[in-house]
Amino acid sequence: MTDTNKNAKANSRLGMVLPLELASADSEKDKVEVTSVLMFEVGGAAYAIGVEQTEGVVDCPRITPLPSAPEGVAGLTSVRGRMTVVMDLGSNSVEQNIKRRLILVKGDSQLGLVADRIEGVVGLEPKKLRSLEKSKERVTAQRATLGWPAKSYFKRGKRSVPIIDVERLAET
Amino acid sequence: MIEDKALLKDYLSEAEELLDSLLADLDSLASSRGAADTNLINRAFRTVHSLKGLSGMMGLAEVQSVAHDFEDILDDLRLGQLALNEQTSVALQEAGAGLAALVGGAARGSTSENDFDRLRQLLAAIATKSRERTSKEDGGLASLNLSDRERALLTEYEQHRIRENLRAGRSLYAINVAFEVDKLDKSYRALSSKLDETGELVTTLPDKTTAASLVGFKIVFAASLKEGEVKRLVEPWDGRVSRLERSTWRKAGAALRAAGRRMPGRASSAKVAGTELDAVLPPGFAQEALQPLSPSVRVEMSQIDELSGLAHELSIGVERLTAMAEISLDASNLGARERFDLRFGARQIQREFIELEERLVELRMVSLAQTFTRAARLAGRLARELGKSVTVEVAGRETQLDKVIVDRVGDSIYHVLRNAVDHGLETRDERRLAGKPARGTIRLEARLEGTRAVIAITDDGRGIDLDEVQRQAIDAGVVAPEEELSEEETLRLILHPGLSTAGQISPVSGRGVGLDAVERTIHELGGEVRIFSEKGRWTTFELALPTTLVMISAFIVRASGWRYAINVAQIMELVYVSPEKILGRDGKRSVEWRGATIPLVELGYVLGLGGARRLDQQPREVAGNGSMKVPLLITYAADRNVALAVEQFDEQREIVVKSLGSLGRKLKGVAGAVDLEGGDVALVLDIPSLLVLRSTRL
Repeated sequence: MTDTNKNAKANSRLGMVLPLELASADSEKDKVEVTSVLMFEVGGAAYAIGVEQTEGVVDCPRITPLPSAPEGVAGLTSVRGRMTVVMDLGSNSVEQNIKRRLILVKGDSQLGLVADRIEGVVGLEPKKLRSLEKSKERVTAQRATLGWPAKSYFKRGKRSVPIIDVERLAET
Repeated sequence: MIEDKALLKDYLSEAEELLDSLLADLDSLASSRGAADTNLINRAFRTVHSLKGLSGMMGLAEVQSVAHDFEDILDDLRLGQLALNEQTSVALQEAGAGLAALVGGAARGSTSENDFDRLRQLLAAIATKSRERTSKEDGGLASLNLSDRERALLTEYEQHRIRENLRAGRSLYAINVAFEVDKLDKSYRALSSKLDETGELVTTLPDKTTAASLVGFKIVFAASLKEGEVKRLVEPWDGRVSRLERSTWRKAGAALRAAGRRMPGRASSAKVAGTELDAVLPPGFAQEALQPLSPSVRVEMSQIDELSGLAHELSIGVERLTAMAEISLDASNLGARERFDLRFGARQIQREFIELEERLVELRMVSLAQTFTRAARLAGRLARELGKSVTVEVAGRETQLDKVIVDRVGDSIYHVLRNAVDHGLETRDERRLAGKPARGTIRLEARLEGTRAVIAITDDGRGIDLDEVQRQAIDAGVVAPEEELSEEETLRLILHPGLSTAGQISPVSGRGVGLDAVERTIHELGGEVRIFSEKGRWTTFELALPTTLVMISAFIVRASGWRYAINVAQIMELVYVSPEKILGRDGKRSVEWRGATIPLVELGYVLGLGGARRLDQQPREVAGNGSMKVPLLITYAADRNVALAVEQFDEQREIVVKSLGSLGRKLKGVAGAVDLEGGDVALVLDIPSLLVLRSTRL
């Protein structure tokens, strides 16, 4: 599959989300491995998640609170008959009056990430990805992720956008 | 025949699937014209093997035996002992159709012995053709150091056993012995039982002797032993041992086995006379196979899941539509009546959607009946083999569980049962000495406990000797000598892989599965294994299985504005009390119940959804006589009764508990969740563990 196709497929799965930029020109497609991420905003901060790790985006249904839930877990909701644990990465600054969206995470975790706004799919070339595991970047890392697990981030305008590490998120 | 209707249904539906697969494979085999696909033959072999096992479990001895014959032929085919030519494959097709025709009738008890005989004859004809040819060409047999006369004495079965043993890589030995005529019987029995311990006594051939008072035998013995070991084995009887395989053949055979190739010299040149295989089954014999065996339709579980998801989406769609209709109503001049009708209608549809969803999930649920019946039969059979008498009591077979769980837990149940029969139960004599009835009892029981299904296996055998287990655990270095262990911890030691021989529990012979494997499987399913025992009296193994998709009867209550589902098994009583009956203050309230003072807490508080309400001032419910009452749910936590105050009692209903996934498992006190009308979700609370979490308050 070409990267363009991959993105197209990811976009159709994500419903109404429009791509912010084309992943790569067709002529380059065999040379560069492009990572597609879904960028979203919650609590005023921007995050991204690998498109391949998502199952779709839906309007966030009413959330039922979970007793003694860990930090970041907003509660529980049912999506397509499947119980989904909703995580809110921006739990302190929720804009209640806007229609929120829920990004469904692939896998057994039955996890969904709440988003105030979906910004779209971004194709990232490897050189644009910055590792958060290098010590030089650690300060940026902490500032960018607000403590949520991430392995890498990228720059978008002035903002550093961390790519959420879903597996580690599910473990917390 | 199968008496139990439910079992019959299950059997037919499973058998039909196997037969369909078998017939399809035999058809492909026939059309492959000699270029046989090994995978195809292997699959056909496994299919017939499964059918044999299934029929055996159901006590259909005829089907089992004929399937066994069929299996033998396929086995020969797949191991290259029998070449596949057109006639053979057509005959196999015929035999497959014949088998399919007989299964339904056999299960219902309407197949005649004649029909089985005809099928057996057909199978025998195929087999004989193959054996005639292979006995000429079969290097395995021909290469043995046996005279032609001796070889002629071997029965078909014995030839088969020799081939099987060679194929399994065992060595064949000739043991020449001579016994005194008057001690013949005893000596022979002693020797043969000795041989049976380490290998297989294939046959005994007559042998020349030197003295008239002696009778000579040549025993053909197969074993994975070296020549010297066999010699030592038969020393007490002055046996002479020689290898039956010629050395060149041994090497070639081993090399071929290692390479996974078939033996040479069995090319498909042999002719099977068509006339002998044709028309063994009379015309019309296989017609019955056109009738479906079972009225069931098999669907993939994923299809059910997709339908469930769709139903759920639809119900939410109706919800949205209703909301829009409400807005339109507001803008119109319609009256209260229409408004009511619209709301009523919408609610109705939503309820039906939820029911639809639940029905769909029910499709995934199967009862434990079949598993339990098989298990009970197995235990009975095993006991007979071990010379023990046992009564197997079965209870709760109607308990329904997700098919995925039932399928995976079967082996664990069998394993624990085998353990109970083999090691739990004493022998008849031991039981008599212990003052117990000679006949042991094993109880296999399923029950719902909270939101879990518990499968309990109890035997009234010798129990587990705690001191012995501990001693062995220390010997094996599993625990330190100074370590203080509770009774439960000690019992759990027998699950330790390195310690499966602890106490009275030892690994069941011939099975590679230990109790640690049982525990691993149950853990993987999200459950736990519990062990209880009293030395000399009984042992109970409990397999507590997860909540996923277990149907429970639940009571829906409201607290702090949210709805919660509570398993009725955790509720002792629902009561309304007057506020003045509630004693104490915030954080330390209590109430009188059945003559005792029990602590009272608010569900909302326990869930961390708000502080304690002033119950005396805010009663929520108006009881029948018009006075204000507080709804209380009497439950229990850690052996004491507790009253839980809620805002409102809703209703009792059957619910399907859905799992919260890997994150949900970490949430204590929440067993799962259930979809409610309106797209809402109610948590299914596990009250005892929830209360234990907050026990500081009680």
